[in-house]
Amino acid sequence: MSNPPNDMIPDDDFYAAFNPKFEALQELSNIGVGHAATALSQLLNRKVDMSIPRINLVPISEAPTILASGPEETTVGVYVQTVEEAGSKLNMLLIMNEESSRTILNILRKGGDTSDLLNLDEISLSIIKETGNILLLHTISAINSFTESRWFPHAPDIAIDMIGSLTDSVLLVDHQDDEPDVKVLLVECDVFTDDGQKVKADILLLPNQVGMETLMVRLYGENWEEMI
Amino acid sequence: MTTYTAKIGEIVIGKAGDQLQAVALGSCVGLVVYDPKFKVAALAHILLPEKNRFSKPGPPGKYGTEATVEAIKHVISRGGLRENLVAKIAGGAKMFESLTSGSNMDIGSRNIAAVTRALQDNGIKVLARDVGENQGRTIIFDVATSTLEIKQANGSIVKRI
Repeated sequence: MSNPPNDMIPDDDFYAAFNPKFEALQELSNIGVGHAATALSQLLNRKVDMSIPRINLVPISEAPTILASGPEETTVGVYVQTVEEAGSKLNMLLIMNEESSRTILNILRKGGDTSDLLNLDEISLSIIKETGNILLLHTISAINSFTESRWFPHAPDIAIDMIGSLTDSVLLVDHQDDEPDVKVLLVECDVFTDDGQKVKADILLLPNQVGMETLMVRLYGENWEEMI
Repeated sequence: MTTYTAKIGEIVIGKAGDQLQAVALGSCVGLVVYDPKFKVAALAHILLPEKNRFSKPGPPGKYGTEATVEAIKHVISRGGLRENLVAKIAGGAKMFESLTSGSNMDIGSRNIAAVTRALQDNGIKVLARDVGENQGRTIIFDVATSTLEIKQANGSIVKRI
């Protein structure tokens, strides 16, 4: 079992992209991704190196063009719904591109046929789903400890399809005001293994109104809307 | 040939020689209302079944009930005849199993139901449908031939309806 690096020094790009408004969110993502990288390192049984996560508030309708070449690109989506008390929800969609999914399968299931991601067998599907689930669970646990919350995750769900079809299906779950341009928190992260393989896993955090309010108030205080 | 793409909540209109498309439908529904004789068509990319008390004003194609009425108006305003109008629908998939339980869930099925009802209320026959299941769809309607092409994730055309 190897350990993940704990002496990461952010590069210049990180400082150039640094947005002080997102300081708390950035810190939260760093912790979340750090936890997730540790888990991934254990799962893949090799040292992994992660990029500093890039965090942004984006309209969910733009996610397909930010995360992929366009809405029709095939990606893996792992979806987990989490609830806290008082109707506070924070749903999460992890998006992984085809290449990253193959990388994970090649490491964890040598010899499996990964040529057609749309027709994977049960075992391969399960491997990808559980890998995504581990990343999401570590992210939610980081959010919980950082914001002193108790979001509780449901069982994960997987779909491999056009990214636009995946995002449109989770777009308005738990959103009563029907706003397709609702902003979601997007955490983009690259993970590298020590043998030079790259896994890109991006997480869309989709809180409902109560969840967004809860999360932001705990991170930024009551006047969070003026700060973002 | 010109291709017009309806983004989420939009309605596009075309005549013979045009193609109307909606890309990567998940739980969204693509509704085509057309006059096969005069070759005019409207395609709506519908996000939700109907307005609720929290709804904000949105683009005309956002809600199934409204979008159906709007699409009909558009086709008639471009020379379509009310009595000729027919429809094809596709989409409304259930991409994630866990989205089917609970109160606010399975938007796909609710979208299909709302559009079907609205078409019925307006006396418009549905000639073809490719709905539900758990697969995303890109749909392309050729106005000249009234053919609706359905493409899935690998980009290949899986059917023409």
